[in-house]
Amino acid sequence: MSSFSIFIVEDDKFYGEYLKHNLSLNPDYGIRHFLTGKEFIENLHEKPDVVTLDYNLPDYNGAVVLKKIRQISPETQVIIVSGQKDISTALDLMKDGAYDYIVKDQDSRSRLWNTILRIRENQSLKNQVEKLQEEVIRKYDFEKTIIGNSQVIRNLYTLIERAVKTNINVSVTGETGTGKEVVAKAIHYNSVRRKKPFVAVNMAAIPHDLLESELFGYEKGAFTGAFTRKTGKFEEATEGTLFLDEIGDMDMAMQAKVLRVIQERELVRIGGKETIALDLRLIVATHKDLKEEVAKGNFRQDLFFRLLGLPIHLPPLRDRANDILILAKHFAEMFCKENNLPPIVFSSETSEKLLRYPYPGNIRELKAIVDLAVVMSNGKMLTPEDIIFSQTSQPTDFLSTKEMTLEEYDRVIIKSYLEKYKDDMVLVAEKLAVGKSTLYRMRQKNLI
Amino acid sequence: MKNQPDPLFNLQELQTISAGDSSFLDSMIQLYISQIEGFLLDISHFTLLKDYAKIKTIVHKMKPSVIVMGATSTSEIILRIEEMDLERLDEPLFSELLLKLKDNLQKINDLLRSL
Repeated sequence: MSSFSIFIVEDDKFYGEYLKHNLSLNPDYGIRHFLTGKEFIENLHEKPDVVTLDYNLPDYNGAVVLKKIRQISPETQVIIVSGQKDISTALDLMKDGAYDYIVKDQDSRSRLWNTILRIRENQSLKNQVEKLQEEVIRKYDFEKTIIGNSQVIRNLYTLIERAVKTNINVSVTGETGTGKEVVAKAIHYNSVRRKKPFVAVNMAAIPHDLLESELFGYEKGAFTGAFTRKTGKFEEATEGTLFLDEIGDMDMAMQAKVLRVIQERELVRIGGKETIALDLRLIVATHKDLKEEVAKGNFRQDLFFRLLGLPIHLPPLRDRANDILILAKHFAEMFCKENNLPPIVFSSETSEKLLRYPYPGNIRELKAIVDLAVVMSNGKMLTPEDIIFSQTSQPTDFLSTKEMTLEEYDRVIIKSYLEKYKDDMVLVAEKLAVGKSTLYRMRQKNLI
Repeated sequence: MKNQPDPLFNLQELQTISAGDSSFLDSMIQLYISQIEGFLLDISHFTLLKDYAKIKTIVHKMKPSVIVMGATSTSEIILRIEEMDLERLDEPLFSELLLKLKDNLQKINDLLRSL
């Protein structure tokens, strides 16, 4: 059977055979020619990839046949091939879903050929996107991505299962590196919204003055530099999931705007008038204790309750010691697979060393340690020497060497992070969960 | 050098897509001849009835085949007939164009039969 089926609906026998023979020069195409609309509609259940449709059939008008195709085989692409040069008819048919309108003239053969090639390319891209989507969905099968055997993880599976079955907002809390985004993705890719976008926004990484336009978008000319319309993250996540990370870092003015959008389930782009309805699931995450922030007056209580939804707390890795080795072995296995390396085993001393460490950077840090250990190893067994804890990962080390003020400790920590992350202020601010402006201020005063 | 008259048809388009398949070329020529014969009969019938709208429809119908056969001067006549306004019809011109069209089509068929 040919891989690409084309139905030609053409009552002019000569012209129909001409098109058929021309297209059959491509051996990938399986072509059938129908002289009447009735005969074609009777065979439409075969769902061809493409239909070339003569507008004036003896028994049906092209618009009626097009409507039938849209009903019975919506994936089929329809190319109208007509002797009429009537622009308004062509426009109407394109509006009703025709892919192209080709006039029967000297160029129609090459135009038809090119149009079908274009359809095939689009179809191939669409198939690739669908395949990739399936791969992503499989990748985020939560029992494969959220690893562990502790009670905490078993409870987490239950919560995720509950979240995926409904459209409830979810708030994920936990220290940095505990896997908040992994949980958000697991919920999205296991829910009915899985084929729609997952849009992640790190609120702490976007400068305050840009946050509004990033989230809500803007119209052309809304402000200096708004040369074109821009869709915001809320709109991008339509029918999908919007993940707002570090939600606790939003200032009060922004909190009011986000609250309004969440309450009304609609937004207006900056400088715009049109109201855009929102259909999305919201997942928020923060390393901060939002209740405490509410008590301190830093976070709006009404927004807190709107966002709370199903709360999921991810404990630090040090509180689920049972999972450390399971995770370490999983990361080692993944790293070996991704790098075409043979499987590697852990010596008992290595396991003990891994268990003794507090992991202030949580799972993210454990993964980095294991990846590096595999690289440093002899390729067969991980030894304690292969396990290298970075200096910044051991904040307790410098406590014993010298007594300092809290402010001095802060500077030591920030400096070591800046060194580690090659002076990337935004990343360091994110890692240390401090405002970027705080770091800039300290830099201006030569404190760091 | 003396100007050569425009040929009445040109089989280059059909030859190109036939990719050397002479049976396809032959069957298409036969199909064209019989189709045009039918159209000519219909035109004669509706000329007697002075049903110019029907004639225009038939002429419009035959246009794609005439273009494929490389009958450029004939397709130009068809275009002129298609563009004529039936509300304010210039009957002598219409008849003249129709006569020319029928003549061309008949000559093309005769030439094709002799190939």
